[in-house]
Amino acid sequence: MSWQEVAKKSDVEEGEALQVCVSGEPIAIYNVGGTLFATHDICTHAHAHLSDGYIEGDCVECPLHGGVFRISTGEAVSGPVQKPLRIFPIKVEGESILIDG
Amino acid sequence: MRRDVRVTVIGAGQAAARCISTMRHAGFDGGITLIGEETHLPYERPPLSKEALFGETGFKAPHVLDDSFYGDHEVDLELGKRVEAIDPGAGAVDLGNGLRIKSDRILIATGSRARTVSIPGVAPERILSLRNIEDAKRLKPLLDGRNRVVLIGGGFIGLEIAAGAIRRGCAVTVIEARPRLIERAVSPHVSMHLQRLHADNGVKFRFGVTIVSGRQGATETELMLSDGTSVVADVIVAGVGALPNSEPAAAAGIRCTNGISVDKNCRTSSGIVWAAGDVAMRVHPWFGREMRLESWESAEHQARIAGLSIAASLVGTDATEGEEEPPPWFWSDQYGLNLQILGCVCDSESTVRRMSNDGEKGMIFHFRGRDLIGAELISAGRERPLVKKLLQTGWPLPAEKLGDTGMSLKELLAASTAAVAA
Repeated sequence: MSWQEVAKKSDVEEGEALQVCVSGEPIAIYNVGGTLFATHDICTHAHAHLSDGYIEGDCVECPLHGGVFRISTGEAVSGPVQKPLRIFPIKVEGESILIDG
Repeated sequence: MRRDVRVTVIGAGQAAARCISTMRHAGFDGGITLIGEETHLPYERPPLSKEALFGETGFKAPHVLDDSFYGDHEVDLELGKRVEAIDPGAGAVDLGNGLRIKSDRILIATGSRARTVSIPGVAPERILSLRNIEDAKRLKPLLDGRNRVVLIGGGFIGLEIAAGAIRRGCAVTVIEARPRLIERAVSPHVSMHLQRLHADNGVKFRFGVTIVSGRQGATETELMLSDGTSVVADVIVAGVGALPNSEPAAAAGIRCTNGISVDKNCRTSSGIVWAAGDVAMRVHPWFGREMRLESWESAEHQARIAGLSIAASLVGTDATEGEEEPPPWFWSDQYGLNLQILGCVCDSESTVRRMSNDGEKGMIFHFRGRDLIGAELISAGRERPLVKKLLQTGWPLPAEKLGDTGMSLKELLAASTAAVAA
């Protein structure tokens, strides 16, 4: 594990998500009210990208089958999902977004 | 809650598991017995026509609840057992070999079974169906290589099987008695979209014909069609709808029509018996009439209603769920396409399309009179939460405005919310 720069702060607007790749793993970066979070990008239920999902508050809803995860913790909140999402440490240095992955 | 009360849950599928977890979360700490004909803990069925057939070998259907839930929450399991009779008067459920379980409340969540097809000249065991994990295990090795697969019925299960089988190299023919695909549940536009997608992938269709007879070879079967032609199959799968497993309820004198009739709280005509899921016939506010919905969402939703209502009845209140009833929701995955249906499409009188320029993605809104009643989303699942809100808010503005892609759905939702409030 090591910190890697994956994007610029300006790449993820508030209420939006962005897909990045760290060590071959797809990761979704979210901007929730100005705070950044990172989870694995693939839903734990079926093969769908959560960076394409619908963000409301601090939850993301999977575009395929409506599974809802809490972005900050990865917890499975509702819908056909049981397994939590893996989350990744994320930090901002200057204009850069770094992920420990 | 009293510890000396007991609830028996018949059927061990999605609705049964969700009802049990709802009752426990609501604070019910009496006894619970779960009876299921299958030997498995309640599992998710949507993957049966997808990953279970075409995913990696050793697929395990995800369980609805964690395996530890049943032990942690003291749920007695009677799996692999069949209910012989229900006696609402005595609060009893009879299993074979003289075992009788007495309880204060009963939930019937026995689901539905595949409607069978009989073809003169063809042994019934040659006509397969797909309802449970054992069916999927039997089918999986057959949908491989050069087998010629004939699907009877161009519905959701048939089409999902077709999509997987053709990618496995099978030759696939779908025989549909009606003039278009999934006529009962989707609009003509979506039928055509799906038909084109499947045809582009090599699936052959025979519309408006039925199978009149068959001739069996050693392993293959020739199916004679009503238009005088025939199709040869190595594998035959029928997906022509499902029938409710409501016979034990009917035999117990519980009111049944096409399924077990329940009120808005999922209570049956017997005061101590509830029903939920595929087996239940309930007046859905989005349809305004009794409907038997066979979907993941309906099983989940009805099970929550039933669980809360059962728990409330045991402490002497008659609680209803309280929250607004969400529009019915259904999804299907075929190739890379994800179809979602929200609300009520079958009663549609007019439509407004909101599609991408290439026609591959987008949505179709459905109206009855001036009322927005449903929507079909083609590979546009990201918009589902907004479409759901639009359906719940209503659309008091001119219908065609929903097709204006110059405005985002968020903006349209804001416009409709403002117009409703005004």
